[in-house]
Amino acid sequence: MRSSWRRLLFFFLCIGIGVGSIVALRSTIQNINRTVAGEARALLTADVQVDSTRPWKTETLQTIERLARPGVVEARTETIEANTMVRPADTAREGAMMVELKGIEPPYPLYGDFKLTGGRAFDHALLADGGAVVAPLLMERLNLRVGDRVKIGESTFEIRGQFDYEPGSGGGFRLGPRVFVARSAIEATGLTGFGSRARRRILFKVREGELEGFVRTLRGELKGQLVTVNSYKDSQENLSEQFTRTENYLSLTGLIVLVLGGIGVSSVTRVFIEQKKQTIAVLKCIGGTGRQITAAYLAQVISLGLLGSLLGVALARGALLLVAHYFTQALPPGMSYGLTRGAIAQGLGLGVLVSILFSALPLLRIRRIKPNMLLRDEEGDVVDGRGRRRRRRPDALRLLTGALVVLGLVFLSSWQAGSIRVGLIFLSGLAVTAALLYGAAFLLVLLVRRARNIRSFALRQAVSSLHRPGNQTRVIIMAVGLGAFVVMAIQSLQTNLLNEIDISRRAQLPNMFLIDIQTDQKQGVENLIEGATGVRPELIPTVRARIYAIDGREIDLEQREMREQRGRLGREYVVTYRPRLESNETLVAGRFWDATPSTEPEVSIEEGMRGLAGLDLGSNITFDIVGRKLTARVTSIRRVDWRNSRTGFMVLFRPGVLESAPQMLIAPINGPESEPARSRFQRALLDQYPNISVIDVAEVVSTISRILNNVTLAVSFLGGFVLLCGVLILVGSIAMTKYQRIYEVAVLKTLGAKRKVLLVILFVEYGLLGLVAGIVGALAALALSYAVTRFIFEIPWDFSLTVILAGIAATIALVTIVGVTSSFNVLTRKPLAILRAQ
Amino acid sequence: MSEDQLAELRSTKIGFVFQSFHLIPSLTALENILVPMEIAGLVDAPERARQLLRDVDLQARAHHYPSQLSGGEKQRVAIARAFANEPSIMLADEPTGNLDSRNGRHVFELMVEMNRRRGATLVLVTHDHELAAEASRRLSLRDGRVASDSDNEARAGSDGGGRKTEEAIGVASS
Repeated sequence: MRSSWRRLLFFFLCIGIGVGSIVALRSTIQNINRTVAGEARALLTADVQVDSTRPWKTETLQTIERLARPGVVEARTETIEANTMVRPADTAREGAMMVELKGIEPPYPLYGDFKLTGGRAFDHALLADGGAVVAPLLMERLNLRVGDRVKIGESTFEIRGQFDYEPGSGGGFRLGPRVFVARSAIEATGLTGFGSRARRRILFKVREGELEGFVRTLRGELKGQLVTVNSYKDSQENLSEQFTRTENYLSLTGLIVLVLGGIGVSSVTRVFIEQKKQTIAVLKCIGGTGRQITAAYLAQVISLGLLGSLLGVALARGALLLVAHYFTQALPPGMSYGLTRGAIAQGLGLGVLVSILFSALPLLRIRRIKPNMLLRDEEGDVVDGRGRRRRRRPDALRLLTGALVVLGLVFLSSWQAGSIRVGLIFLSGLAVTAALLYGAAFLLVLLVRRARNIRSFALRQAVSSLHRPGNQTRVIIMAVGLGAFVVMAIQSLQTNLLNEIDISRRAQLPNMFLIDIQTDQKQGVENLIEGATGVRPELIPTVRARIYAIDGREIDLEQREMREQRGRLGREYVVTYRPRLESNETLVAGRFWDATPSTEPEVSIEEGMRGLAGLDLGSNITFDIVGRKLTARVTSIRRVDWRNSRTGFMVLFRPGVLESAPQMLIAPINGPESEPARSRFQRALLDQYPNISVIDVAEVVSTISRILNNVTLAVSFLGGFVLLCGVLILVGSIAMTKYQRIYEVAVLKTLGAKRKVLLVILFVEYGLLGLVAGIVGALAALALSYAVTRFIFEIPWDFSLTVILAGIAATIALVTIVGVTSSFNVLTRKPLAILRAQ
Repeated sequence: MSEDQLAELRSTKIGFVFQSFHLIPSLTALENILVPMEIAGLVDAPERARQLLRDVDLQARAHHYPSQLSGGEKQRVAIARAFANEPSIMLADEPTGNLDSRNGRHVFELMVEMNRRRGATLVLVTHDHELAAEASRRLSLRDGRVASDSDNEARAGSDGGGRKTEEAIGVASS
């Protein structure tokens, strides 16, 4: 008894891994959440922030001054941020780079702190008289040292230090390294003048208890002035929401492992009951009722499930220690690496529940075992006259149990996903994949049953063992296939995403964007670009506009409905005007204007804006363009093919209105090919026109790739767990049917089979299993990556044959190696002893 | 001898019949008979297998799986399989032990008949004194040691029935 349960441990190990990954993930994210949300102040570097992308209007400033009374506000400071170009002041030195410039003044930061390289304390004196403190990346890229001088716009700065950690750094996406200078110095660089994309913030430290009132009155009185008021509590809430969502989604991956373990538990219980038939029949003979025996076995399943889950918790503890050891740099300082109580409880509950759910149906078989089987020497399943196993008709109890199991699974996945909808989607996706794999396995068994005409004996023998009674073909294909599916789907998705963002690979699209070109620089810039690239560029006029009102209804971000669309309503739109559609634009609704200019304001919006606060064809949008209000009617709706766009504009005006508005030009170009030539070109441009900024797509792509790689690494790690679990189930399944294999090998040996033949049989058998699991896993992975790429990311889908072939080959190799090695010792057994023992 | 050498020996010289048949459950009757010939690499295996099946009078059951055969039928398939490679020695370990007396008789007669036709030596282990009586030489074992050794002619029924640990080895030789 005990030894047979030991074999079951493999499957409960899977439960352990599943529970472990869920507990580890949830704990880590909860810990990060607790730390980060606890430091929401430090992230905002203030209690309350008012920010604007325009210079402060006197009216706004007056309101703020009036409300920020000394009794309410304990400290305040102002910052300015802008993306701009930095180049070495020494004209003999090469290079230029886009940076995120930030102008600060004492007492910045109100919360949080700098950490300078070398351990020196930060002091605003470092920034006085043209000083700058910069991120290490800039030093590295432009080959700079402390003491070197750089130019930003027309001004020169001296680098006085570099920092390892800046206050309020969330570690998110950046266009370039951070550079700190004094706020007063930025006004002098000419960057905050008209047109640049500077963001200004006023930061407050608020007295205890005054926060909410202060925020409320600020919002109320600043309404309609196109400024945003944020308190650290808001960002705390947003962060918590995001973290919870991330936590739930990642846990679903853990749930896949658990379900896989569950499938293993289900299959093992079935085989186990089959093997325990005699014992059960004997128990029934001596008066045990089906209910008592079922209860006894259920108790064993539960204790094993609990054991597996406890093991999982221990694994999670170990995993967190590893995380603490290797990833401290990437995680917020001061974070705890303990398991959270909630996560442990969830993990244990999940493990036990999954064990019960998946063993319920197989355990019901106990009822069917009759004591009289002890008297009759029946072999295996009931077989009808034509050699097929007779299907027992499902009875009410079975159906009821089945329904309860499905309900239980729905509950589990909805619970883990934190939403019934997502839980259902997840479960159906999993069910479809599992059904596919099961169907493929079924088909395989059906096919090999007919494949009697294979010449080679070993081959035929291998094929026929795939449908030997009590075979684990379906379980192995399902477990391994699911693992292969997850890993390959992740790979395929990553490849597609990387292809998509790697615009630089698509030669016909621009790989450099020149922005902030003044209208009077048009001629000169065009000449310069033509000189460097041989192509005369098309310069596009742009105007910056915010949506002030839609159909007369003012945008009020405090309103719940509008708050949800905050990102798209509150943002600043870069708009342009032209008489025709571009080749990558198609009209979806309405009529596009003819080429003649009109003084009646008309706009064409991108499809994606439809429905935004009720926006549709015929709506009137009131824009705020540098303080001036302009109401335009939506006369058409376009679809922009973003992939094939040199530029894409959400809002397009009919010519005739915006020409007189303050505007800047942008130039999408194909820069010089080689890295040094690109750098030289940027430098030459900046020396002549210091106000222009260059976005080098290649740089941006490499930054995004880096972030994406980190994400994929984390997800692949989980995928690896799924695969590991698949392998464990494989090993366990082989162990479960070992007695059968030993028997067959013994028979074949007495009939004269040599070891070579037996080995070939093993190799072919597992090779076939791997092949089918790999192919089905690959197909499902392709389907998923296709669906996600096209319908969620909405980007074109590329088929990568290499990933798929490598995936299938790896699956075959894995299954064959694991299968053959764990069956190998079967070959060395002496045959007669085994046959006589039967 | 190595395991592979033993296998070679079993393949060409010895045929086995077991009390509990030991057919490969995933193969049909015909296929079970084919296995030893295929392992030995015989060219005319399929025809021979069919002939053997005819010899044991099971043509009609060629494509049935072991689980679809009765005990006697199973044992007849096993006998056909044991004779597949024309072994010179045939070892039968309680071949009738799991069969009722009618089927047991049939199986035994079949073995003797095949044995005679193919000229092999049949070594039969049995508890059945009636069967043992028909062997040309008889060894009685008790507790693993030879208790008596007699030619069929010298037999006087002196092996004292009812001794539980006794085994009778009938050796039928041509």
